[in-house]
Amino acid sequence: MTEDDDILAAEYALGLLDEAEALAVQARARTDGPLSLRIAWWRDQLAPLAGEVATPAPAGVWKKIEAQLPGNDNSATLMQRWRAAAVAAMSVAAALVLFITMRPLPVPIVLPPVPAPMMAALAGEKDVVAVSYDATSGKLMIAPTTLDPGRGDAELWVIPEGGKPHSLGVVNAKLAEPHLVPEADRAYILPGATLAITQEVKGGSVTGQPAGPIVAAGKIIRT
Amino acid sequence: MVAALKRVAEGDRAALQDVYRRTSAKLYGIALRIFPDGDDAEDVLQDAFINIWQKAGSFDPARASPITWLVALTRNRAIDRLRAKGKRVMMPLDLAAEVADDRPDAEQCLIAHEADARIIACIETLAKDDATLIRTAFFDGATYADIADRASTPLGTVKSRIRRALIKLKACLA
Repeated sequence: MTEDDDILAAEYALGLLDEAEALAVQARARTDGPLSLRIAWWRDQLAPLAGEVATPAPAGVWKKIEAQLPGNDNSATLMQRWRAAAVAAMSVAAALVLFITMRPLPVPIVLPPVPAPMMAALAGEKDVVAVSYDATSGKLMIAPTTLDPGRGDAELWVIPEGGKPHSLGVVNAKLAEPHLVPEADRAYILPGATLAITQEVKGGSVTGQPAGPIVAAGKIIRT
Repeated sequence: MVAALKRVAEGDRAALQDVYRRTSAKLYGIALRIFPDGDDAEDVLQDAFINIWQKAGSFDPARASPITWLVALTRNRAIDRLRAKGKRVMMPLDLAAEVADDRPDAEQCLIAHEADARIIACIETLAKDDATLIRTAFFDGATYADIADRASTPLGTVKSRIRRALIKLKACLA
């Protein structure tokens, strides 16, 4: 490591850099292992300074923190978050339904039912993740995203309307790989259900329900 | 603490309370340095712990010690809040011209402090004003530009002075 880079790591850890410079170092550190480790080293060295200023927190702060955590029954409050995320996507689906029903109905021709492909646009904080699903093959395709699960994994969930989240497994957020959905799970993937991606620990949530924050969510619609 | 954070990642609220009991004074102290009035510092502490709850899963014990991660997280929340308010810590800094180095050497300081507070010993080997600059950066969340403003000193001067101090710290800490 050059001395310049070492000092840059120190400057970053200390917070001496302005916003633009700091963002640049952050971006570099994502792929530059030695830089990232050096920043961690400097942070480690500086941390004991915090001891110099320790002041007992005022009483009652813990209660306020506790009140803001998700409830003990994780699924109840998580369901609220899912619904909130799904409502955002609902307007798109609703508009499509309106458009389809407004068109004059053609004379019905009886055809054997063929499952049409489904899709979903998962709205995240900054990106929209496009997902398509083919019910005949069970293949789910996630378009490449800029989502970065960091040291953990991105996990995909399907939530039936009014139901509990059901894991579809850890997905590769960066590559557009087809993800084969196990037979047992395919029944859940229906228009009207919600698809969501959460940030979990490596290997996915250990609780069987989402534990980490939602990074993108959207309703499944037929194409 | 690593075990506690792991349990927090699994949704164990008692573990979060444990982390709170053990670290809230340090983290509150950090918040207070940036927001001396207390109300904002409390908000920062709350934000920090909600953040810890959400992100405990991404803490990697191979990369950082728990207290480092917690301190960095809290400082970041405080600095974000400061910038969101468009504020900066504005107290002027009074830097004397650099004095000749008649500071105690590192070894003397290390004997006086515990081995794991090396940074404190090393900072004490710096010229008094250089030590002030380093502490100001850490505690006030001050950038080079902030320090140059507060010390009414050209940015270039501040940068070279602090960089020289960092090189000295690096040698001392190694």
